[in-house]
Amino acid sequence: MTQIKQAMVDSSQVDSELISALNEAGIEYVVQDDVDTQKHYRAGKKNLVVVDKKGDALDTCATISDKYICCNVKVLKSVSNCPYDCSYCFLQNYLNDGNTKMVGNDKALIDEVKETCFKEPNRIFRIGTWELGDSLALERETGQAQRLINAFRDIPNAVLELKTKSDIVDPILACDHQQKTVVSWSLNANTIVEKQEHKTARLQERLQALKKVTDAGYLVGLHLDPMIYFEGWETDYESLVRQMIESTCSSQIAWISLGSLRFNPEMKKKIEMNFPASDITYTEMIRGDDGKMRYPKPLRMRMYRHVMDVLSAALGYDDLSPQTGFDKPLFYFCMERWDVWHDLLGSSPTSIQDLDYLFAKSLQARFFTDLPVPNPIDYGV
Amino acid sequence: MNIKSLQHCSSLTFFPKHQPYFEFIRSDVTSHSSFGYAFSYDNQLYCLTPFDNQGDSFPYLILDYTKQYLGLDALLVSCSATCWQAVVKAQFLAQAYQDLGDRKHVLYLMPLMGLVAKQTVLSEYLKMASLPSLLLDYAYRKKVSSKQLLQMVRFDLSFLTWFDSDVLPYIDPSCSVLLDLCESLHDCYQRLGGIHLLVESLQFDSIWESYSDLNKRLSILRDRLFKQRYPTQTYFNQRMKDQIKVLDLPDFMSIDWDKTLENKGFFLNVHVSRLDDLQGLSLLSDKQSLFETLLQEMTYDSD
Repeated sequence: MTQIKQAMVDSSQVDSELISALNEAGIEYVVQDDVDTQKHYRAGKKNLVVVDKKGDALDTCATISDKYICCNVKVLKSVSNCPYDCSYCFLQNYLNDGNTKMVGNDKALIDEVKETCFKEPNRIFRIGTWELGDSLALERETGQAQRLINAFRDIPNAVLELKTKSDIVDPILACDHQQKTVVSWSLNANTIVEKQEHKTARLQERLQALKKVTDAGYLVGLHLDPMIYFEGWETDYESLVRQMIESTCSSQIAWISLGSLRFNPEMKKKIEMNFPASDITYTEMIRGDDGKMRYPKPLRMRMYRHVMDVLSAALGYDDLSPQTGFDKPLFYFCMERWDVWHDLLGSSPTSIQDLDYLFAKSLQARFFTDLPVPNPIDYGV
Repeated sequence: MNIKSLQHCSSLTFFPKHQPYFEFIRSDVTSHSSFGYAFSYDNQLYCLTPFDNQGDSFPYLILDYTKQYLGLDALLVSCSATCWQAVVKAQFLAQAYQDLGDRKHVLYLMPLMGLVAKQTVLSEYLKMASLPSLLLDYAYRKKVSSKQLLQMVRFDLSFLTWFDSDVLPYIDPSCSVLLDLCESLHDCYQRLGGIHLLVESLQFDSIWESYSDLNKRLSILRDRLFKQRYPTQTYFNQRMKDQIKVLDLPDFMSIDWDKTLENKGFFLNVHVSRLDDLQGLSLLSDKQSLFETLLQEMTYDSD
């Protein structure tokens, strides 16, 4: 069943492949330029507006801060807004236009990616389409991920990351991806999936989808982020870790990340207004050096330690550090402090660029041995 | 709004349907000493200006009005409603909604109060008017802005009702402190799962009984509340304090650290004012293992 109630297509996009996909999916649309903006992010979740690419679509993930280590992933802004309704989603406080907008001009997106990647041929770029939306939630209707998978296959030094909370993987299973796409999941404890991640696929559905893409030979990514504190979190997260590792094959896991709940201070009121039944804002939080609210460090570290212990056991690696060998999935924290890395993993990357380099080393050593060995200089280390 | 005429009258009464409005606007209107406003309804003049002593043959400007709105439009103009406090505007709109029975009619009145005539704005003001009575009084007394009032109305009504009757009468906070207090109490109330658990954990009565000074009460309450709202910070900061006590530093040395616990490490402050103090610096190497323990404390791996 489609999640789109209304589709509007900019006249410049009527000949795009996205429109063919809409036709195939039986989605009716109207050709309309200058669609009115939706002031509330929720109001536009069921409106799909197909637009032309305007300005640069490729950017660096917007969460860079010098106190917290970021992985320096690039983001391709091909979609904004999402049919799902997670209580902690930053989009509720971010989007000026609530319409779900998708760039119809795939070629322009790919051309920009190619231009960037070809300028630095010795770097391996990780590029995700998930910054302002879900990479696969609208795949049945738009087919955009399939076209991107096919395009990335032919860019030697780029890896596409499709991150999702959906179970919509059937349309991409037959793609000739050649492991140049990492299909990744944002996963959470079942309690959180059920209570906070509204309209997303249920945990078991996501895990089944994870198994399907693993069987289809894709590389996969696992993001336990945002970890959320609740009574009984220990057993719920333990169970999640075991199930997710059982649902895939460790040799195909490109990376695994941990991160904890964080949001801008003004989001607290938004969450409480938009999700009155949610209790995620009532747990103790402090304001971090990046201005975001997050759990106090002792609590975050306790949660990470617990999950890391279970993860180590499930994967069969005593040492998860990305700095001690490239024979295992690359483990990292999303937006955590240097000392948290150090205290939990024994060492930390020396810089954001260093972590980017570690990703490249891991990818090259494990999956792309035909590429030259990454040189730290090319990553600004 | 047009002025129809100037008439000299004595002892004009208020329009009966306006009576409830004067309950809350009386103290918020500018009193004109030299003239008043009135309007004519079914050939009888009614006073629109809430002052107490009108002499004989007092001059009144007779205002035009819209009958459909019960003369509330004339009342708003005569009372310079654009200058009213947010809480008075809210109460007026709530009363008008009750009397006129149609949001569209109420919307018409809003520009006369300097408000945008939008359904969302009206809804916000109607919510503000539903605050419990002491909070409304407080909002009036402290000239609380509409933005601040809106922050108050997002809390549960049951919580606000409890706060209004069991906390507010015992303290006198500034508006920013009150909002912070509400936020903290509400977080703890939600976390604990009910008012009675919150009351049990914070022991309000013991504060009210032990201290008569309102500021002292507030300070004790905020202190208890901080511990309740930030248990992790409280616990680990206390552990740091205990460790520092073990160090037994001389008076000219002190240790400071980030109390939010985000930034690892500590500042060792040494105030050297005498030569003897410099000799005391040898302490640093003597106590190195204790300093190491202090740093180890900040890896939070024991609890």
